[in-house]
Amino acid sequence: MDNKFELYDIADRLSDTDCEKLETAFENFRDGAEIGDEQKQRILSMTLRKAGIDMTTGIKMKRTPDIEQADTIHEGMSTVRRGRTLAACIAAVLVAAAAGAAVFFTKLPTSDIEPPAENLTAAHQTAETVETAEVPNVVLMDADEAKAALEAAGFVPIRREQFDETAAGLVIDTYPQHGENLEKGSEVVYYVSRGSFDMADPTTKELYEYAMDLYSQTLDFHGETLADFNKENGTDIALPRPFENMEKDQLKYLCGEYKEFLGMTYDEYYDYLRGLCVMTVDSFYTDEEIFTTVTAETPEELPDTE
Amino acid sequence: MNDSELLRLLRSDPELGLSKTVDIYSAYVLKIAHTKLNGLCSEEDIEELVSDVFMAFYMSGKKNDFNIRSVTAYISVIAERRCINMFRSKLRQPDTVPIDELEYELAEQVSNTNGDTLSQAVASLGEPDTEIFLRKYYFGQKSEDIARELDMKTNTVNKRISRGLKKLRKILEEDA
Repeated sequence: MDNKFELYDIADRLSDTDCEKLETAFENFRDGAEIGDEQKQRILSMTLRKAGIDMTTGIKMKRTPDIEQADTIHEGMSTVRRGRTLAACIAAVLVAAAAGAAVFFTKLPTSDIEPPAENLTAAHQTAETVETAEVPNVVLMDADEAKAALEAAGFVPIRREQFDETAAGLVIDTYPQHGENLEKGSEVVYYVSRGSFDMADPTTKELYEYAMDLYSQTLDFHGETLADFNKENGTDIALPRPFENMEKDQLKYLCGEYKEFLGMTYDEYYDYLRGLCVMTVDSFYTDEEIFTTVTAETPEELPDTE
Repeated sequence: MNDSELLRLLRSDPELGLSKTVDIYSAYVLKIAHTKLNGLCSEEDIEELVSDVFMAFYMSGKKNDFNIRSVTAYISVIAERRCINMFRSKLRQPDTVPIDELEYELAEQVSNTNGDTLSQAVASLGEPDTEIFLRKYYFGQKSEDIARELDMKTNTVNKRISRGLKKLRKILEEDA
């Protein structure tokens, strides 16, 4: 055998334990590795097929509550998202204060940010007397396919969109999640990825939508709806609308470079959130929507974020 | 998601963990495969190989409850061995030119050295030589590609490889 060839076969000589000593070099080699969304999906399909996991009923890339809700915040995109969630809330207050005048806020439609918990509860309570069905797994399906699958299972699909690292147009999660038995005709929310959020050059609309995502995710983590939170804290938090009225810089601030929050636990975030809810709320009602005029304490009175 | 989180997910929900592993590492494995097999296999063959790597990772990991300390290292080993097998199946030698006779001499030493000693010796080359050595001989990356990715001149890479081989030979001789 040619000796030269053996040297190139050095991988044969090294086990994974041996390679742990060289991990840094491997990680460096990994830098710049790229793959297109379509190719990644093909590889995922092939892998799952080989593993005997059905793409339609088996597991696919989806949100992972046990990981994403880990109490300690780690480096990475999800960390940034979490950090910005609170930043959105904080900034909503600050922006309002900075404006030096009452800012017209409107409460987002409940269905935009709250899971349909009531439907789920009702379905469980009447499971023995009504026809039920299992929520199918539509994670990573194309949005249209997911909608069709949910309809075929007897549910009313409700589309929501979020920024996510998953390829745009694919379903990243549902609520309730797959496997749940629900009364047929119940609403099932399916979250469709809008792709990654590009902080470098976002549009005003994207900034607003991103802030809205972040905002709801913080509450989701704590298992609270916006209504719960407001009721508990005697506040009425909502993102300013219409976003067209906001300066892009303000929205960027809203989405936030609040790096000081990175590294906080969710509990710490939540405490900050509660601490910031020192707003004076003066609500009034119209026939269609609840509008809320919000004034905030001055920024000096906000918790020190350093 | 870092490796610890990924491994936790793989233990609690292996199927979802597999999906996430593909999500995180597919670009890396694809780069390994392209480096080793570009021009030798079709893109379809390479994708098939990449999925085989994840399948092997999944099956192997399940056997030991994903008791893995470095996912990167684990996947690297699987990927590289799969690539080597594919390479051999195509009956083609690496498209590389020996730096000098040192390669031949060192190869014999390497074949008589256990993995622990060898990896320690390679690590002790120091950066950037460790990385260059691995890129060259572990992943089979061409010198010009190494140079491009590390922002060096090809000639510099070759000189460093040559010096690294000498240093490695000395280290292995001392260990022996």
